[in-house]
Amino acid sequence: MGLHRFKPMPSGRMGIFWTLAPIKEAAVVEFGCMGHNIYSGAALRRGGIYEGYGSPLYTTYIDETDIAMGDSSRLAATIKQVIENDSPKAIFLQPSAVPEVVGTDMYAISNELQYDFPETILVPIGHGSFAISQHKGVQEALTALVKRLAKDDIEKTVKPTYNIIGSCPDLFNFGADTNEIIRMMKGAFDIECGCVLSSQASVTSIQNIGSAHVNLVIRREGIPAAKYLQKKFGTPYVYQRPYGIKGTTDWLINVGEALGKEPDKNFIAYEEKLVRDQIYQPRRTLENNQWSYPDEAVITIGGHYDVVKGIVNYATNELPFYKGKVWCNCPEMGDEEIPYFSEKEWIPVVKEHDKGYLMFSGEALKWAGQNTQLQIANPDIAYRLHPYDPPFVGYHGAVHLVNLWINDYTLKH
Amino acid sequence: MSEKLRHLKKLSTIRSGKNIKFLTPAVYSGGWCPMRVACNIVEDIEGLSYLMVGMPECATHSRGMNSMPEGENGELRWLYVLDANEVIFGCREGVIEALKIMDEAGAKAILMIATCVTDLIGEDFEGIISEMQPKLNARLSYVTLGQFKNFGSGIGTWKTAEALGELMVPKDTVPGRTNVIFVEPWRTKGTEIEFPLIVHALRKKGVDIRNLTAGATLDDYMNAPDATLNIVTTSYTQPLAAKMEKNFGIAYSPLHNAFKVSDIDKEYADIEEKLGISLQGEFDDWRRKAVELEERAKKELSGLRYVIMTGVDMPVALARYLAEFGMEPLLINVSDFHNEDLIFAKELKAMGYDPPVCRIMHRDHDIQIIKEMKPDICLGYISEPVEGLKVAEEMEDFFGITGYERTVGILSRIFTVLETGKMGERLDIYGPAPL
Repeated sequence: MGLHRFKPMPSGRMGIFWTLAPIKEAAVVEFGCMGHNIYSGAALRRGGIYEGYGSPLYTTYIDETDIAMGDSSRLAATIKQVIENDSPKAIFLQPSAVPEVVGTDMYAISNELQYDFPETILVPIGHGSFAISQHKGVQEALTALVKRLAKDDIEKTVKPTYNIIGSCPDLFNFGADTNEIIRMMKGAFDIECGCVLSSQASVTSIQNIGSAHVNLVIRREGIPAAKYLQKKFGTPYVYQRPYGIKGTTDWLINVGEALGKEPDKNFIAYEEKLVRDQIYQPRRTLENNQWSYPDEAVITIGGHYDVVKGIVNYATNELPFYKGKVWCNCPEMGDEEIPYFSEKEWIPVVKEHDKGYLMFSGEALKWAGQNTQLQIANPDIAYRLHPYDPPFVGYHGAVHLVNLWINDYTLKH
Repeated sequence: MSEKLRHLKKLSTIRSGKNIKFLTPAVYSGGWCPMRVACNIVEDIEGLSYLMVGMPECATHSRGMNSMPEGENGELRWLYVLDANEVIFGCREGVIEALKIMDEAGAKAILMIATCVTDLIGEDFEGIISEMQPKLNARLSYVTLGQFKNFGSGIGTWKTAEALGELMVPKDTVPGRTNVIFVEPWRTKGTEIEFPLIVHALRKKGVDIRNLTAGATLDDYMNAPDATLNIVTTSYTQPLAAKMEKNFGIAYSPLHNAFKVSDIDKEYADIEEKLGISLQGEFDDWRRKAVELEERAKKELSGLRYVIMTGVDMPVALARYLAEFGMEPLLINVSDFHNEDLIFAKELKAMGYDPPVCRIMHRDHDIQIIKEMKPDICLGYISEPVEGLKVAEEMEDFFGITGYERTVGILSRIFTVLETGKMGERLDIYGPAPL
């Protein structure tokens, strides 16, 4: 990875850890040094995964003797104490970087320990490897969770339900976006969510995940898990993040097709009209600005591929903006439409930005003296304690984004 | 000894931090990483840059939420992240390239901070410095801080302080000039540093004081060898003082270890002699109060049993002091074991005390074990009050404070907690002594 000025792409281990941390009725035990656990725990608390929200986060520590002797007895002792303290239904086991270097086999250790703790499901999750990015780690965790925990013998719910796959704390504004999806599903289909994997999940909800009628995949890292559930339980999935007015309505129609049920037309009509009314005046202002100063009507944006794609589509297809530089923050996801930018590539874009709207990580926006209200990606620079922030997705997100852009316009004019 | 303490070692058998067991095995939720300590210390030194060499976890968490890659005065806080190949074959070439880039970008001095994996693979930073120092303008130093052999913030602080010593070059001695060494990682930037009264007294006497503390500059560190005397205010900075004594012949006063009035008297007399000044009358009220409290302690604290928990600076030295009054340590939390602690442990044993030592890693859980021990008083951090347990909290108030005022503060707090079950008000060491 080399020299970095800014926080680099997090590791697969970090992606796994952040995905597991919000899950209720479980505990996370990291085998290895302690720094990652304490600081990731602090970052999660800043991001709204407060103490007591999901899994308690334990670590074992590891010293020179443990490394030299290949001794993993700290792990067994810690698991025993965690079971006595918290009685979790499941314990997620993860190596930190040092055990990964020395080749600790968490799967073998877990298999051995499972006999000693038959009442608790031990779930080793790998990809501590050094070539795996945060996004692959999230994908690995989501897939491992459904493969290891989903009950085989389960029937579909009598009244249709759905799951959300891919709402994880590593994604900026994950809580608000998920809540908007839940709101819209209730409004359009009058159905309840079974499992929000992973930000609002419990072990029980993951065990019952096969009973849902459709899976809503809101980031591409969730696709392998959704495919597994499709194969295992025949559950169809829709992979899309709903942005904008038309984008959101299209998404609801796609979800309806997968569910075999049309969305409520009155709900859609009401929501669409409300958004159009709310953004009417700002939209006129932005249209006028685009006409007079087209170079100011440019959206420059970097972040998670799916987020960038959704916001750009809304901005350029439904609103008076032109597409500027766009990039994603994961090398495995980049393509011609949205390439991956390393910091060497995005630093000049961010630094030299002077016209239009720049949306990226809080860290970079702050560094460049840009409007941090336009943050759409991590690393974050603020606490996000309450889950009631406005979303970026859905009808409410469509208003919120216009609100952000018109405020940025106002700041500059 | 209780069954729950049976796995712990006695203080007298401890030779280093390696032998200290956890009170209970589950760590919740981790302890401070020494790498973060090092980064925090460097961020507080104007003009000093760092290159953190480690994994993405280290790089991400090396910075606070609002830390930026460059400091206000052009300091570089850059990160070198090992890839899969470098984890196997080393990162020498990459680090050398990074140093060249930082040198070209204007770094005056660079501290390389190596973390767990870099430490584990044994990357040779000394070799890198030998090769690169003649080719670069920036002065180089390094510290390796794999947490598997550097447990916590204490050892991170003292090793970082020692590494800062490597940036120093010999200077002509300025008679009387005195360094006050108080390197601490957690100070909020811009907040005033609370120095012990001796520092203010020396200033009043015209002593030329240089603070090697948060907010000091790189030049302060580089010029530090021109001093006549180093004053050590915490155990974390004693190794730097010892190194400066060895490398530059600068004597030091270990004020941090002097709790007892007679020991403080000796240290102050030593300072007077070395600097050729008189401190007569400077601390009379505080000294009188400390003597009074020590007399009272001999009468009232004898036989009382106590536990030292987390958040207590120099727990072994403190236990040695409390043994003077016949207080019996039941259990001592020792996060970082200092070489000096070997002496205190030996003395404690000679006085009839050899408590088990541990690391408390799950405070809310472990407090119940401590409660079962039925101590008369506990010293240290507690997240919630526990019924039936008297706790002298906020012992970190005394971090960096020395002299009679610290003795007064600690003994007053113990008496107040024993009498009322509560802490009482925070002692104002700059106000009049509480006679």
